[in-house]
Amino acid sequence: MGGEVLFIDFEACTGCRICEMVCSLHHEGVVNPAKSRIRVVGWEEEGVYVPLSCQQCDEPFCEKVCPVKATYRDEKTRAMLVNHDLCIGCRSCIMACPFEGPALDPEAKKILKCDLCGGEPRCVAFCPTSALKYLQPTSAMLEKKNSAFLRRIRMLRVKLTKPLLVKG
Amino acid sequence: MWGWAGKILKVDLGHGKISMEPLSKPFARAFLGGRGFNAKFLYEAKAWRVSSPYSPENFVVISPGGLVGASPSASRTIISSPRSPANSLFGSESIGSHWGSELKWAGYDMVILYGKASKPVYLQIEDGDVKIRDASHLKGKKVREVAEILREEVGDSKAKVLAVGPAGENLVASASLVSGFRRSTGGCGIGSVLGSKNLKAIIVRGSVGVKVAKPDELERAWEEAYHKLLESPLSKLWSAYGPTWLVKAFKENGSLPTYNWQQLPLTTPERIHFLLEKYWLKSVACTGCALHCDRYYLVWEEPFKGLRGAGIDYDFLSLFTSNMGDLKPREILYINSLLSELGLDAAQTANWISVMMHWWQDGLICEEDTDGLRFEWGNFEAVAETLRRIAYREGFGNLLAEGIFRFAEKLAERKGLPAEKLKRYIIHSRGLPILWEVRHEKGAALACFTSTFNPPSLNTELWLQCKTPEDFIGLPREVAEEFLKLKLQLPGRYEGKAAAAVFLEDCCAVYDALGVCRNHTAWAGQPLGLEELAKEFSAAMGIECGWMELKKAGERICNVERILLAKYGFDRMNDYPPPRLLEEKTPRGALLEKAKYDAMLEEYYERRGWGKNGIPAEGKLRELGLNELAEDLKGGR
Repeated sequence: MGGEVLFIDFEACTGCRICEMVCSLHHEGVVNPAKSRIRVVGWEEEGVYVPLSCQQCDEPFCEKVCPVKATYRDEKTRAMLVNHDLCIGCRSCIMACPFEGPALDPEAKKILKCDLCGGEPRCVAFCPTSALKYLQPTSAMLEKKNSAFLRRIRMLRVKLTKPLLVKG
Repeated sequence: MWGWAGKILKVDLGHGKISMEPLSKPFARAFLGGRGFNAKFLYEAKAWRVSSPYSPENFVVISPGGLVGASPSASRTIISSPRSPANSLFGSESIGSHWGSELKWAGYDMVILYGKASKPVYLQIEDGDVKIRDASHLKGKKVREVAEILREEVGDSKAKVLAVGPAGENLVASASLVSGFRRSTGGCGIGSVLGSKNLKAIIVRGSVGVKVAKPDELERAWEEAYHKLLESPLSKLWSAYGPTWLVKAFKENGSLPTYNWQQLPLTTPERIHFLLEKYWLKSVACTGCALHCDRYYLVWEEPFKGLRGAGIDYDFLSLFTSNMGDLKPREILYINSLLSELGLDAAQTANWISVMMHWWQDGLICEEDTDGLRFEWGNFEAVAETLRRIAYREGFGNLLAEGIFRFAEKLAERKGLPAEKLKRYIIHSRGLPILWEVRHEKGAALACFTSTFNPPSLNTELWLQCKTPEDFIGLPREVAEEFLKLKLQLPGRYEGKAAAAVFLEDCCAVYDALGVCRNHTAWAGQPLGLEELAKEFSAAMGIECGWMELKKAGERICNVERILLAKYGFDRMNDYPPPRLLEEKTPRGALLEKAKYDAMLEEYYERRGWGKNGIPAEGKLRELGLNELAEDLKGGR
């Protein structure tokens, strides 16, 4: 097939960070979320966790801003990859990306970017709640509509209120 | 060093000194991590010489499990102290959440805190950069507020906070440590040891990570364990219902404590899931956990409109919902939020309150003793107000905050009653709460009262339907065959239970030492057994190791803890259940018989290789490579 996209349903994310663990293990051989290509940002007090990763945009900003044309598209998976031989580490792509896609390896000072694991994303294989899926864009759209609808139902059920601090 | 972070952090709060030491590899290999590290460290530091919980010489050891940060199933951190406020013994608590893995990723296998700061401080750990910072502005603040302020102060929204609440600052004997919404469990009151040291919180952020020996092999081991875990029927229950399924199941087989262990009928537990379900917003998980048994909740009805939180676990549900009579679902959630805000341990505090209710039922206390609160079963106002009074040490809460035993003694003095009469109502194992009924399950009773770690116990009923060795999920074949021969899956039998208790206690020591959540393991009927862990351990640490070796390490840990107990003056006499469990029958007619329990205990010691007084024999210690302990024991305890 090819052409699938990484679909993220943050409503289903439990914040377990297993995707960060397996991503860093698979790519870097260490277990270290700081070297993961996917990041879970969370607001524990609100119970909200959002995995952020590269969206492999059709018109990628990272490609446009790269001064040395180190960013290129993989033919098979349609993922945007970084040629580390060309990369000068200017971090322009990090600044330009609206989705926190690329990140900087704190140790090696190189750009970390999701490569969809060559078409078999490990984070998807390990996600216990299917918050991460690898789908054709059309199915992904349907999923997204589905989840938006569910969210609206829940909003009707739960009228969101101001947090109440426990009196003590 | 592979698998382990390789560093020990020592913080002298009294002098504001911070030092780091390398972790010794033979030590790490012999004791694995978490509970093992703590036990051996307490022994080496001669923990029994520490005189009181709140003296500056008392210290706290915090160790994430060996596989924490290197395996998705492992997220637990064990926190120990030589003198715990709850029972004046060495005490250990366990906390899941995200804090321990962040500490491991920051590069530490152990954090040792000693001395006493002259003013309130908090500890900031950011990889190699460790600072003791002023926390005067956090004094008296509740846990969630502390976390919010600290994250803002260090400018890192992903940093993880472990904090003590007002209960810890006010030296309450059941004060816990709270990370996020989750309390640590164990009920030893180590929160107040930190409170006495003026340490309000530890905030951690790690980006060093854990280096592993064989990444490819480890990934394969993870995948194998992960699929086994997800396919298990119990995992599906944990994921779908959270801990409420366990409450229901235990109610059905009679293991759930109700009305302070009187086991009177109660209908709430069967419906608990449906009562609470409407408030669940979503599942939340500890680091790497595929079961996500915790729930984030939001209450949208008066009087608790807007109440939110998480951290619902079995300990809390069993002891607060059924052991105290009928509480309404909204009230249960309010109490949960209150406990985590004040930093009180659920199990220990619940145990105190249910004893008070039982006294009230039998007319042993009246409104005079409780500042006008009526301790009727399921009286929410009394429970909530008591929690507040304990945490801030107001009125009768001031005395209750020192523990139910002390409260019973004082009360008996005032009323002119024998203290034993009041203390009889307290069901405990060496001063710590037990979590489920053990009278009908003899093996559970044995494990519960002999175990050197809290919360102890085993459930052989899991294997009731087992007909072939394969049916024993997560157990090595040899062990399953032996268990089948002993017919130990029949709950009412005393025979053969010692074998299961010994094996599973050793297993639990391994799980606690590696930091693996017990709900993933064979102990809870789940497929993650010693064999699977040995694979992950070998790949992560680069040490070829089979399940027998891991079990041996578990046995070593249990023996070190047992020697520690002996040093505190504990022996066989302390391995018996409290008198009520030996004398009062449950409504289903189950009772622990003293003579048969004795025989079971005898067999247990024999299988352990311990003497008749319950103290490890020299030969056993040498066999486990604990030569220095054997030498030490020669000189008498």
